[in-house]
Amino acid sequence: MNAKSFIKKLIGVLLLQFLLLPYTAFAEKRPTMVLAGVGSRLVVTNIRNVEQKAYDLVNEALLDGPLVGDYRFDFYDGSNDVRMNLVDGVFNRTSTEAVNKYLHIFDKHKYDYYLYCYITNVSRKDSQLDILYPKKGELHGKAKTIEVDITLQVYTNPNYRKLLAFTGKGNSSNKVSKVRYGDNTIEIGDLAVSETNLADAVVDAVDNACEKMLKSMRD
Amino acid sequence: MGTSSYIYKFLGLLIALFFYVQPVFAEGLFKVNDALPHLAICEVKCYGEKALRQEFFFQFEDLLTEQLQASKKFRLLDKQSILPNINGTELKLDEFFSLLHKDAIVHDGDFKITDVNTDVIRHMRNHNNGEKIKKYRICPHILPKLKEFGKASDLEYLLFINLKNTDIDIKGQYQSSYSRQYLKGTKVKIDVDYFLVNPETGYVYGNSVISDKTAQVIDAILIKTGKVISPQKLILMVLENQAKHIAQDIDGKIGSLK
Repeated sequence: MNAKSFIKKLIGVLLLQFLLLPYTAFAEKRPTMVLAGVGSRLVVTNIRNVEQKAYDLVNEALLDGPLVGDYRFDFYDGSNDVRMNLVDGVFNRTSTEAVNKYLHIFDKHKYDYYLYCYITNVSRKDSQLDILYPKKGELHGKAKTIEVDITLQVYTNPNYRKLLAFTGKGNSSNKVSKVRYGDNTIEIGDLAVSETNLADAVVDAVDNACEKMLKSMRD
Repeated sequence: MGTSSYIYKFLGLLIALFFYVQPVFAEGLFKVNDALPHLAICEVKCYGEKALRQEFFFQFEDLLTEQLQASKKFRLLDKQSILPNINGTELKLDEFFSLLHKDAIVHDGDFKITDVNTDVIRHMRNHNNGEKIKKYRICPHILPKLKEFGKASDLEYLLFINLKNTDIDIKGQYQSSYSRQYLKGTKVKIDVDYFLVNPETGYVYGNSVISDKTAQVIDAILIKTGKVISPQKLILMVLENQAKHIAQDIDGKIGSLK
C-alpha cells in the first residue's frame, strides 16, 4: 500500500467523522426528567389514615422504580427542592390565569421533562363467598384486596405544556379459605391486610404506569 | 496484515457506531406525531345540578388524555399552552371556553340555561338513552371569533366535556321476613355529554354516554356472596370506561365536521 492511497483513506475517515460529529455530540446529551412531586386526588377511602403513608410509599417506589437507570434519559429527584413544592400550585390548577403566576419556576430549572404523580385511589375491596349446608358443613372463601391507582403526568419545559398522562393500577390481596365437614375443619390463609400489602400494591401500580410510559418513548 | 485492513475495520466500526448510537434529541423522547390534527381538551366541567368534586374532573382530563394518546388519531395540546392574541387583545381563555361550551350545550336543543350566574343548565325534556347524535353549527355571533381563535392557536379540534349528572345509589334492602334476603351495595351512574368543535367551520358534534357500575353483597340464607368497593374506585372505573368510549367515538367523527 502506497502513501497516496493511505492519505486518501485517512481523509475519507476524517470526513466521515466530521459528518458524524453532530450526532455524537447530541448522543452524549441525554434528556433530563425530574420527579417534581406527588399529589393526591383522594376524596374518599375506606382505610383510615392511609394518605400520608401512601405518599411516602409512592415517592419511594418512583425513585427506586423502573425509571431509574433507563438509557434514554436521566432521572432526578426534585422533592428536596423548596421551589419544587411551589410547583404543586401549577399542577393543581383551576384556571389558566392562575398558572401564569408560577411559570417562572420552570425557567429557573433546566430540566427537559417534569413528572408529577397523583394518587387517585387507595382503598380496600372485600369480596366473599359463603355457602352453608345445614347440619353437614360449610364453605367459606374471603379476600381482602388493597387497590391503588396512580396517574403520571409528563410536562415539557420550554413552553410548559402537559404532554402525556399515564394511569397505573395495582393490587395486593390476602385470601382465606375454610372448609368444614362435620367436626373436621381445614383453614388456609390469613385475612388481615397489612402495610406490606399496601407497599406491594403501590409498587404494582407504579410499575404499571412506568411501563406504559417507557413503552411510549422512542427507542 | 496490511494497514488498509485496519482502516476498513475502523470504517466499519464507525458505521456500526452510527447505527448503534441513535441520536436522542431532548424534544423527541416520546413518540408524538406532530402531523396529526391538533386537539385540546378545553373544558371539563359540570353544567348541571349534581357535580362531582374537582379532583374527578382533573382525573377525567388525564384519563381522556391517555386514551386519545393511545388512539394515535390526534396530537393533543395542553390548553395551558394556548396564548392567542386576537387583533392585539389577549383572550380570556376560561371565559371564552365557557361561552363556547354553553353555546354547544344550548344549541343541542335538549337544555336551557336557567341561571347564567350559577352555570346550571336544566333539561328541557327527559334524556333519551344516550342515542342523540347531532351535528349542528355554533351560534353565528361567536363564529368569527372562533375562526380567528382557531387560526391563532393552531388547533383543529376543541373538545368540551360536560359531566352533567352523577348518581350514587346506596342499596340496602331487607327483602322479607320469610326469605330473609339481605342486599347492600353501591351503584354509581354518571351521565356525560361531549362536544367536538371544529373552529374552522364552526360545526359541532355532540353525543352523550351514560354508564354505571355496581358493587353489592347479597345475603340469602345459605349463600352470601358479592363484594364491597370504595365509591372512589367505582367512580374511577366508570370514568375510565367513558373516557375509552369517548376516545373511540370521536375518532370516527373527524371527517364529518369539515
